[in-house]
Amino acid sequence: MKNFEHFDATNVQEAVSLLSKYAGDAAVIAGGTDLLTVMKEKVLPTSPKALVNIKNIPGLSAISEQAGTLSIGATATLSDIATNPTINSKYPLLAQAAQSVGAPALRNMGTIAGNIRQASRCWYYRAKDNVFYCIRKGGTVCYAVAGDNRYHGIYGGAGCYQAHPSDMAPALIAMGASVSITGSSGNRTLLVEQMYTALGDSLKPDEIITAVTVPTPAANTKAVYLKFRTTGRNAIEFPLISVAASLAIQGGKVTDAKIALGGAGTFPVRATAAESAIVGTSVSTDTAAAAASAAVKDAVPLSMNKYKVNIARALVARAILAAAT
Amino acid sequence: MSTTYPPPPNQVVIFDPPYSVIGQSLPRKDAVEKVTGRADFYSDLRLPSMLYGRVLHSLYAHATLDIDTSQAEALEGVRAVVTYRDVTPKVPISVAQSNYILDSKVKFVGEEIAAVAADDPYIAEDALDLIKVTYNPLPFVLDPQVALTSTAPQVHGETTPFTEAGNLVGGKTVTLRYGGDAKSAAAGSDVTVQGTYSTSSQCHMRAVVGGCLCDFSDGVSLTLWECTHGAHSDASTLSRLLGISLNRIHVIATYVGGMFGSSPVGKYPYIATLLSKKAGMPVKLMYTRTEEAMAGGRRHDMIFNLTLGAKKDGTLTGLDSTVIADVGAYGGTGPLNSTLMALFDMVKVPTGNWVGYPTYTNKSTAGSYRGYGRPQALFALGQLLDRAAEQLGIDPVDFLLKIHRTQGDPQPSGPTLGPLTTEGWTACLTKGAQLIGWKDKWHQPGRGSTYDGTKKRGVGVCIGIHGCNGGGVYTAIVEVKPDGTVVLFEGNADMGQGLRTSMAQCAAEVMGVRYDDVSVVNNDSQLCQWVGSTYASQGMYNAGRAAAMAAYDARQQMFALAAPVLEVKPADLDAKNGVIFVKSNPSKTIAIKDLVTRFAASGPTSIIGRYTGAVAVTKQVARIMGAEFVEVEVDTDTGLVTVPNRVSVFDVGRATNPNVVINQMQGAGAHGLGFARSEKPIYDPGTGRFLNPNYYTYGVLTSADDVYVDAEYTETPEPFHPFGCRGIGEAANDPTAGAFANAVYNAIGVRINDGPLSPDKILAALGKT
Repeated sequence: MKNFEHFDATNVQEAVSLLSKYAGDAAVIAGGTDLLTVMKEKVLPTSPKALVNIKNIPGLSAISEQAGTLSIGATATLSDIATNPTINSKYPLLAQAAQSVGAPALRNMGTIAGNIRQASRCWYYRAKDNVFYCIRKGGTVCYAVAGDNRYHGIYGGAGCYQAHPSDMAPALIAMGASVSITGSSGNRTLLVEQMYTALGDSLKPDEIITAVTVPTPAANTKAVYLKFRTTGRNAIEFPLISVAASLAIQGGKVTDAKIALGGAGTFPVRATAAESAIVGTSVSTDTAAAAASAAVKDAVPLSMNKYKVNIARALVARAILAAAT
Repeated sequence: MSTTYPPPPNQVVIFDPPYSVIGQSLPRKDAVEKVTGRADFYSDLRLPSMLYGRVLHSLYAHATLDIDTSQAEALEGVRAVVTYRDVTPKVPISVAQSNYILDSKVKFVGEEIAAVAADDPYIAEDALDLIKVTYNPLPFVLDPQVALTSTAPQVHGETTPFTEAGNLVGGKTVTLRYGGDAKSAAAGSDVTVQGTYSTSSQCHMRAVVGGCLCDFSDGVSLTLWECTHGAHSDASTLSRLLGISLNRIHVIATYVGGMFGSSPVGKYPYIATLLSKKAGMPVKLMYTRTEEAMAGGRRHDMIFNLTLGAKKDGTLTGLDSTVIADVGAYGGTGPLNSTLMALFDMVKVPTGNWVGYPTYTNKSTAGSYRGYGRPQALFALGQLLDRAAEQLGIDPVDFLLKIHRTQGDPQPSGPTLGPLTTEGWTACLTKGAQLIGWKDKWHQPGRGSTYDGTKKRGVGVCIGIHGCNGGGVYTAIVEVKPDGTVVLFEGNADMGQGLRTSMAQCAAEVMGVRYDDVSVVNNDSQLCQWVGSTYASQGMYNAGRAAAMAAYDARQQMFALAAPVLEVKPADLDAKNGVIFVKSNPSKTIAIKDLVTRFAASGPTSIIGRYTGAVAVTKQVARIMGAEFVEVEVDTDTGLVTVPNRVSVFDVGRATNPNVVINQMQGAGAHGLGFARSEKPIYDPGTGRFLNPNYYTYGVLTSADDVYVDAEYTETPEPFHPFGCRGIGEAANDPTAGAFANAVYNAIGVRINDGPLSPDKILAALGKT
């Protein structure tokens, strides 16, 4: 790991001004479970000159609910989310997704903002000493295309074929969540779904997420998170494919559906075709299967990962059925 | 306790039951230290003025290189930088290969090329970035089948003094042939089954990472703390490579976080010694997880081509086999040769032909890994036997019961090997079949019920065989202290498997002292008498025997001293709980502490018992036999295979400490299931780089996965061991992949010959991709 300056920010404004001062050469640290591994293995061509620690900022980890909105502070840990009584009773999808991350030690350290902004887990991107200077790092090639891509994305990508590793992102997208962002030029809000770009996210170097806000689901809404881990183990691994499905059902018919996939594309994929297919129907094995087929209709697997299409189809169908019961 | 006969020439005494210490699940000697966090691992240790070492690893799979270290040396806080230029004289680590501590040619990505010692780890790390390496890349080869073609890049071509044509170790194949021509015997049979099976490699992925603490500051006397399979064998290698005499090398084996065969490949003791000498200060060298995976050892991946014949009644006629083993850059033939035992010594096959291709590739060195060739062989043979049973219309368990060898049968795998001394398969197969519910669960392949719409269940079986006496001389010393307590000195390192505990139980039983009164020193090349390493599941058979026999020597001396005091003959005495008593009149006693004290003024200040002895492998082969039964549930939509039930039964001879035995079987079962289902090092075809040297894409199983095994054992005592014990450490991981593959076949009715049976392969087999 390269040397760096370390700053303990005491408030959001201080953090933002430090980021601004370093103009792209600083990184935000809270749990550090992702950032430190990137730095230790020298995964990127450059290492941050400064780390701005935001986990001591008072109130930034608060979880509260008011006026039909859940607010989760940026530094709330995944354990905080998985064990929060309000989240478990009214937003169980988030608790399920948080509980599925890593292992207890990682959940105790990792934060929600860090989880949705984590770096790629593509093994070319992550190779020690930046030996594959890929398109996601500023190069021109995605090494997975001609290389070993058994765990990569199946929905294509703008040059990068990583499988997005976040568990929280699909769950938040399926709940219509937003992120509150503060930067030098003020505050803004963005749907989580709109946060991602093909090679990263749309936050500027001097911006940080301060909170994630989630609208309270309607009473007739049920949601479920299903995750198939990379090698099929029961812990630690990132999603090979994961599905967050939220269905509103009235009079036996689906009135609204939000379905998002993790591990499937370069960024979390909203399965709008599956949503359209299931809305207006009453959920059955057949309608779930039809929606699942719609979800993967446009999949463009790489040379070694066609099997992931099958897993995605199975998980979408199961998530719809589980959410409807 | 009585002895059945006086010591035969090989000095082994057999102690018959009943026992008071053997067979008890006594607390492990290391339990309290480990659970309270007081156990020291090498990484916990610090010396004054200690430096921190870091190693630079190759970025290329095959290249010659030049190194400029001037900038690194100039960095403040850097005390030493070593490269191939510091390796003088240039002595190969393994005799038949151009494998040096550091070299100007690299043969795999991750190979060590330089190292730095600095005041802190961060300076050392920064110094690595200042080392300028100029690589001249050479063509490389990753696939052993490609490596065997005439136009393949030569892994060792330029630098080795040996002719290693076609990338074969030693330039040639290894062969075995007995009973005639196996291929024609098989072809002319009622049933002939032929198949090609390939296995994955497997990385040890132990909890600890490679490294050591080394003090060779004065360039004269070397002290090394490390986790290792053998303090003495490491001392021996250090002596040979670095020209240090053995009296000046002190290797201390600290607690280990798992070994599984990993240490012999690691270069860190040698690199640390070079650094410490050059810096004139102690050096701690510790690899990262990534470096450990990339530069450490791994299992040989193998490709088997087998043809087996059988008569209508199930009698086997012949087994013809070729085996390609990928040995990586510097591996040897050992595990390849060990496939012979699994292929030919387990089932009654009257003609056998075997050709082995130990093949170099530009991948990390393959070496010893729990099972040592047998898990690979049983993945292949286990499935082939299952197919033969199916074609013959015989239940697989009944077929195995018919074809396994038995006591007194020859072992064709080695011309000098004696016959099998016992037979354990009948009992293990019978017990295992009953426990898994074989009769109720086995069905015609693929014809079982479907659960939850998409899930199919199946059961599979595979038998296994493993040695626990690879030969060698084993030694032990016991000292009975003036207070009657005992220290056992036996230099076989404890791998975490519980060897200290088991050896203490052996000594306590023989000497008639309490288990708590026996301490064990077994980690020190200077304190313990010269002995081989703890490997090949020999700890209990050979080191346990040495412990028992050294204790027996002390016991004989104590009885000789006690006899005149108690006015009987030595043969009239026995001992228990630290008290020597007259067998015919147990109220006539003398406590061991009183005995030692009584003679301390005029004679010995303590009593020393010794043993040095070898048990010849030609006569006493000590094979452990067993069977594994696996029940799987295959999700035919996702390819995920779960394991609702699993039974492993082995004949351990005698369970010295039942908890230790069960723990070993559970641990072995976890390795076996990982090998069967998920573990696989994956290499980038374009660069040869190991892509998944980590815990999140490699697939090593955790306690959250269904690794639990219903571990059971039977006890048919092994002749020539004082208590009849065998080694269980590896055996229970050998048949898992074979049984697992058979279970998957039973569930889905499609064979998968390429391990591990990961979801992508399951879905491909089901025609879903």
